[in-house]
Parts: sequence; structure tokens; C-alpha cells
Amino acid sequence: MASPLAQFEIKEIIPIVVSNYNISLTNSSLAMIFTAMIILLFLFFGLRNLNIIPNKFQVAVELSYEFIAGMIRDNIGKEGLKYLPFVMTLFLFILVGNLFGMLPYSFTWTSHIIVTFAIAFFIFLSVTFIAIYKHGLIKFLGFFAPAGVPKLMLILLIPIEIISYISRPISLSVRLFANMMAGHTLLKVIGGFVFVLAANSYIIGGIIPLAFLIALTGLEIVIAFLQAYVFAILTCLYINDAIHLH
Amino acid sequence: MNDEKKSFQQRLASRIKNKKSKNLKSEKTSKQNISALGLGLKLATDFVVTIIVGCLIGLGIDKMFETEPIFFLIFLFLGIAGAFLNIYRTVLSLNNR
Repeated sequence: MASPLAQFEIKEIIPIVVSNYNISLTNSSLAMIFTAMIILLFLFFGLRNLNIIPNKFQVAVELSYEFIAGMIRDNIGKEGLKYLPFVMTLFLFILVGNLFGMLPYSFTWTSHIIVTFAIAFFIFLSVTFIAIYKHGLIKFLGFFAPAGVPKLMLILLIPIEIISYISRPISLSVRLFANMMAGHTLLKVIGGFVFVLAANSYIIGGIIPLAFLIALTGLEIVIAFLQAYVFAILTCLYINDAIHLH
Repeated sequence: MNDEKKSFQQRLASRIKNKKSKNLKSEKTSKQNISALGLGLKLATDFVVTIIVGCLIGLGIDKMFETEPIFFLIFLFLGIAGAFLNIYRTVLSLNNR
């Protein structure tokens, strides 16, 4: 039987090599393309013919818009609404990517740390640039030295602040990656239990792990939503920190 | 007849009120549970990752100046302090909400 980690293997579908760089179309990038297509189709059918009394698709699109707009209003305030396209793209991309990974025979691209880290590092860079652009370099560096602290403590506090600032993109990416990878591995392991127990005890023994598997699939769908939500809300908090440098 | 109608409407109104308050309650608790799970995952990863980042910075400086394990140890403790600071800030922002 295949290892529970075999589902994360990257396979080249269309090999492309440009001057020693391997930029092949892999199953991971194919899954990302499908994710983007699903989002585009969802928005296309939702916004095709707009009515005052919306149809089901339009309600779904409006709900997702309202959800993100409310999140931004709560966490950043009114001036944060110009970052709505960015946060909404991130949220929908990660959410649909997570849910797409729950389909059988699909691939969960959010379970690869390099992908999540690339997204998180881009957020980190842009947030840092926004802060420097809005407040200037000196005031941005003042972010690492909290006001009203004795000078002697600053020697200790500045490195701590810098560490906690650098750890932001890493914890953002590790959280998404670890949750998705752990969940999918767990599903595969319990799926293996179902098979082995059912084969050795005339089907009866497989019932208990199968019940677990169904429950865990539900939990995994909740986690898929939750991680996209947490990712979006933390992006909002970081943008808030950049705009209102305290 | 009129009396019956009135009592029916009263009963209906009380039923609707009951149902509404129940719905509101269950919605609130389920939302809280989900965000509590998210908060737990956030705190756990924040704690671990901050310490790891501290260790890596220390190891990097050690490798540059060949002063093993001095900076590693210093930044390990700074990382632990940073991890607690992160948790403290998250909890503080929860209290202020």
C-alpha cells in the first residue's frame, strides 16, 4: 500500500526546462490553476446578470464580499477597504485551494510549505513596504522600540521585537501548511486502518475506523475554512499594524 | 372566534420570539467555538515558530563569527521571551475587544 505521504508527491505533467531552471507544469500548479478557474467561474456566474432580487450564486458572491468587507472594517477600519481586493483574493484562493484538496484524487497545494511561505513572505514584504511608505523609515524602526520603556530594557526588547516580527511570515505559512498536511496524512492513515481491519475481520472491524474517518473528514472541512479565515484575518491585522504604526 | 384568533396570535408571537432567541444563542456559541479553535492553533504555532526563528538567527550569527553556542543560547532565550510576548499581546487584544 502507498505511504500516507505519497499524496504530497510532486509529479511533472508537462516538463519544461528553461536554462537549467525546472519550471514544469506539475500536479501542484495544475491544482492551483483549477482553483483559480473555480473562483473565476464562481464569480462569473454570480455576477452575470445582477438583479435586485439575487439568485443563489449572486447571494453567495455577495455574502463572501460582505464577509471580507466586514472583517476588514472590524480589524483595520474604513481606510483599510482599499486592501479589500488583496485580502479577498487571498481568502478565496486559500479557501478554494483547501476545499479542492478535499476532493478525491485531487491535490492539496496548501500542504506544501514552499507555496504557503511564498504567499506569506509576499504579504510580509508588502506590509513592510506599506509601513515604510506611509510613515518613513525612522518611524518604522521606532516600531521595534515600544514607547515608555527604560533605555536599559531596550537592549533586551529590540531583539525580541525583531524576532517576533520576523517570525510572522513563518508562523503564518507554517500554520496553514502544518494543518493541511497533518489533516490529510491523518485521513490517509485512518483510511489505511479501515482497509486493513475490514480485510482481516470480514468487514465488521472496519466500521469503527470508517466512522472516525467520516467525522475527521467533516473536521477537515471545518479546518479548511478556518485556516483560510485565520490567514485572511492575520493579513488584516498585519496591514492594520502597518497603517496605524503604534 | 375573535378570542381564539387573539390567543393564537399571542402563541405564535411567543413561539417566534423563543425560536429567534434560541437561534441567536446557538449561532453565537458555534461561532465562538470555531474562533476558539482558530485561536488555539494560532497561539500554538506562534509559540513554537518564534522560538525556532530565535534559534535560527542565533545559529546564523554563530556560523558567521564562529562563536558557537553563545549566540544560539542568547537568541534561544530571546525567542522564548518573544514567544511569551506574542501570546501576551494576543490575549491582551482579546480582552480589549
